[in-house]
Amino acid sequence: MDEIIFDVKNVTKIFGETEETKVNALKNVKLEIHRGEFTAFVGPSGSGKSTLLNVMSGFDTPSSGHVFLSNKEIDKMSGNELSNFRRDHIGFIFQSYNLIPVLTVKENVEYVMTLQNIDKDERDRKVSQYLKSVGLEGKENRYPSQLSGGQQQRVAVARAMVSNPDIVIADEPTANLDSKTGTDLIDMMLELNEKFGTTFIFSTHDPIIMKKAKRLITLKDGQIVSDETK
Amino acid sequence: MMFIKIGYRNIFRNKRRSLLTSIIIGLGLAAMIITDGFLSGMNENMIKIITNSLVGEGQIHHPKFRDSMKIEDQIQNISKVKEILDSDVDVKAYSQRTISFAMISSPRAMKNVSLYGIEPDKEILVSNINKQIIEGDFVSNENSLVIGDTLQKRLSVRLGDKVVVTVAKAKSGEISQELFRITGIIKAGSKEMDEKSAFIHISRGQRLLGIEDNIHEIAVKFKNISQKQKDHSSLWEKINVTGNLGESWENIVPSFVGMMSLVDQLKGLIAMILIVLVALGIINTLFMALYERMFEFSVLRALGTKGREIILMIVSEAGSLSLVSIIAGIIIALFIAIPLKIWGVDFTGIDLAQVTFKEPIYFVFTYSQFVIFPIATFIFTLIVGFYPAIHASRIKMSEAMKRSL
Repeated sequence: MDEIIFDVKNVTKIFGETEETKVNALKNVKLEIHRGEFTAFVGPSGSGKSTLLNVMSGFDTPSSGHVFLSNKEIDKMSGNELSNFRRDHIGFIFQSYNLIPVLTVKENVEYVMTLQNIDKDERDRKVSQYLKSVGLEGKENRYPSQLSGGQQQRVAVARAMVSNPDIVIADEPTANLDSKTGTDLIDMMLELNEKFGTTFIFSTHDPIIMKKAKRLITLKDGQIVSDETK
Repeated sequence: MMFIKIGYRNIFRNKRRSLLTSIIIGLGLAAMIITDGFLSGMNENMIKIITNSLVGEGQIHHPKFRDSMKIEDQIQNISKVKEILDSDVDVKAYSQRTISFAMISSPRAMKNVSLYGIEPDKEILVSNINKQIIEGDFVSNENSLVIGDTLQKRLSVRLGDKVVVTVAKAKSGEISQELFRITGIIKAGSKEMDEKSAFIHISRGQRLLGIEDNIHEIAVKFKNISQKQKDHSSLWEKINVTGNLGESWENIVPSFVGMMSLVDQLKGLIAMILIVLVALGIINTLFMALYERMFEFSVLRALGTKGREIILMIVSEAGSLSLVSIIAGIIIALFIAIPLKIWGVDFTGIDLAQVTFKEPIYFVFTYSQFVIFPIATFIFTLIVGFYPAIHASRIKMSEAMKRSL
């Protein structure tokens, strides 16, 4: 639990080029995320949650400061290095599920493993294991459009976790789900967190996640204003 | 393989758009095939008309005759030339001719013509003048004179009327006049033939010109028609050794060859226009698909997909679309080409480059239409697909993902 998996050092992110348009989205943010944490970023709209997750994911570069994931400085990586790094170390769960619509459930889940050139038998084994873990056994050959929102998000969870990433970043994963489905999903992710020791970071407004998160980081005006570990 | 699979399946996501794009590309390909087949048919038709005329598929003259048109410039070593022609396996038939300027006088008018002395029984194997007879018979005896229908009107004569033919004799240049009876009227569809040519028996022509057994021209018909002078180069080399000049039809009527080359350039121009239209269709479709899926591409990038893998995915989509379009294009082309091959398009009587079409233009199927054109379309589609693909691979993820993270 003590191993630092994400180390955000004095990150500042400024949007806009002139004084009039300049927005200071992140202000000297310092943050450490430890392996196995189940952390939620909360705060009002415009507080900097999305910008912080973008910078931590390598989707955006900080204006100043550094971001380390598993001791690798991701803001210095080239495009291909970053692609490989994300593929091998980060799993993503998006608000709108964002499965690949032309791939079946099985193909969606094994997508990242295909990028990693993992052999077919191993892929089949892990897909089967994770689909079982998210309760979607028997739905391997369905297309995303043939699943409910909750089921699609479960596929997205399986896809994010199947390659054993160091961390799973989830952007408001329950925002498009009803409260029961959302609760079930969070319970399932908690179970996976405990079972596999996978680190989770959420950006959320959902009180269920806030309640179940083991660490709650509150942002306001681009700064961390509170950091509670339960 | 995964990226190719995604690219292929993506074309079925918006079936209506893919169908419309396929039809556009398919129609472009079909138009290229039809244009090529039709213009090739036109060329073939015109070659047939040219080579079935007095031109034949090849001609032999004294080296100076075609420029000078002097009666004295006769074919040399005729027996040797005939021996070469008789022994050449590619030669189907040949016919000897005398050619001179002449004046034909009727009681009402006088006209200048090119007077051809021909071997009637051999001429019909080389040209189809006999088939152009619209009244009377082909040259049948030494008193026969066959003229074109326009000349007939100018001279105000009818079949069976007598006319006087005046020529200048060889060497002496003395005037030689003889009486002929009009036995046949032809209508070839060309001014040169219908107004300015007349045909008599070769022996009468030789006598009239005072050239004994000499001749001015041998028209040759080959077993396999060939456009290229070089295809018969060995025959022409042998002929040239005899002190004469042997040439294929393309050298005899270079203006016609130039016209055919113009047709080829026209085909190229049409193909280029169609290719540009096809390219715009593909780029438009792919960009529309791309902007719709911008977020999806960023998700793929987020999952670790590299830029070049995104390119492969989109180019595969373009390739899949192209394959479907090519099949559609070939089907459309066949639907149009087969009736054109069977029934043709009737251009009978229409003049083009001094050639009058005498039969319908039939579609000509070629290997390139159904192999080279589709391959070119496929490769071109892939190349065009790179533009939107590269655009998508350079997507700025933080911008595209604002909807989510």
